[in-house]
Amino acid sequence: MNLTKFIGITALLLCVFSGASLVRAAETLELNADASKINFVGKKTDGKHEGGFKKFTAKAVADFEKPENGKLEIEIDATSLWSDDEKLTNHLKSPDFFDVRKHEKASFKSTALVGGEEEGHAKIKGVLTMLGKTAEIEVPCDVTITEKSIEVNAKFILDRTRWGMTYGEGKVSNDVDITAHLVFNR
Amino acid sequence: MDQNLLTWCVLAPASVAVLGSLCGWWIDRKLVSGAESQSDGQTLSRSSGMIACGWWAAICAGFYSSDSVALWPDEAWARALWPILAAAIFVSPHFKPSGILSGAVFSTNHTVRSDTPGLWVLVSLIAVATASLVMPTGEGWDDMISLHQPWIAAVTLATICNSFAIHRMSQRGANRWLPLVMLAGLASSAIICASAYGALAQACFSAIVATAVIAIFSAGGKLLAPSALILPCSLFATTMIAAGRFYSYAEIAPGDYGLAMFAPAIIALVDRIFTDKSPALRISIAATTAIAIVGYIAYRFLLS
Repeated sequence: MNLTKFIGITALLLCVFSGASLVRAAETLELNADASKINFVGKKTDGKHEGGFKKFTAKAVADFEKPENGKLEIEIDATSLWSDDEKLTNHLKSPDFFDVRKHEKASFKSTALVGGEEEGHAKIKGVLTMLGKTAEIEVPCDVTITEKSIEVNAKFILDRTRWGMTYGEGKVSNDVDITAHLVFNR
Repeated sequence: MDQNLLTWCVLAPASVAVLGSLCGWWIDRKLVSGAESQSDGQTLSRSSGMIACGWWAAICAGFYSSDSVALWPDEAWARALWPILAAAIFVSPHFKPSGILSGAVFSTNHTVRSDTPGLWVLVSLIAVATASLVMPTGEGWDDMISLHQPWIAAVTLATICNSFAIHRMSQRGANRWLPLVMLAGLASSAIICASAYGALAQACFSAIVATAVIAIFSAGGKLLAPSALILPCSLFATTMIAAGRFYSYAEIAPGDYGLAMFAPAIIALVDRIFTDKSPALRISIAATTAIAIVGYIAYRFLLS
């Protein structure tokens, strides 16, 4: 084996192994849509209603060596909106709320991942785009890692008026309770 | 009530409608007192135009409450404002009560023949133009394109039928309580809009308030030609019902929309049977018919 061939093979092996090590550290995860949920509870002066989105996709990258390098992107099909009242579902789709004809998609893109004080807790910072407006949010979440999946559970409050959703202010609460249960297959 | 709604959908339209009605009354007084000649109907035309334009200005407040007043609004339904203004300026003055008017206030004998075939051609053109203008287009509305033609036809037909029927009713001695019939049409459209989109309902609410003010002036015998509202009101009601349909995701039978669109014509048709009866009986029957239609629409669109 001449010197040129030796250097070539060594370089190739180095590349392969360094690449393999990256794959192990940063793992691209696939969303299990059937097991995942994004729901909300809206409150009004005389009660509350539950709802959610039936269709959404998510891309996640988990870096086990450097968790702060993890990424999460969610795209929600706003037309798949549902609620516990058919008439309310229709109204929520109207321009008074989600204006689904004009803004078919809503999306979340993480900008930073911060580990919590306790193990399994994290805070995902990111931007939520809805109704054509983008605003920063922080989502506290619990992360459960098993051999087969990673589950992210989040419960937080959004002020809908930050995205210009101002219909019924005073009667319909501005704060909306969001719960997200995302299951990623490994 | 929400401050914005109270201001822009109640107080502002009511104030503007009162102003328009007072101007109309002031012009009509010259006719009633005999200070001006009525032979050419010029004065009556001015008062009709004043009432119709006042009504239009009043409903602008409702559009303003949802930021929908613009030269070319983003949302197609809000474009209805401009053809309605054109109707108020150019066509409403021709909707005069023709024939012999009687009663304390209507002591003058107007013999102005207003509904020439040319007028109805103009009404048809404005109706079809308005209907075409308010059909929503663009990204997100592709699945509704197939509904455009039937709805343009429905809005046009309903506007013509309602205008014709109410105008005929005004000529059968119902001039003073005519706005009450138009209120029934507006109430139906408001219910449909309320089930679909708040901004539409706000516009309808302002129209109801403005029409109610004119109805009070008219019932009190202060206005000679409330018939000026016939075309603007009919155009507004039918286009709002169409808009309500396009913003709705509910499965509603086309017949229910049809009933709402033709409500004023149905009331006028029923009234025709009782033309020779006393005004009190005619008003009672018209009110009962209106309540039955509006009640059914409310049940179908809001409660069922």
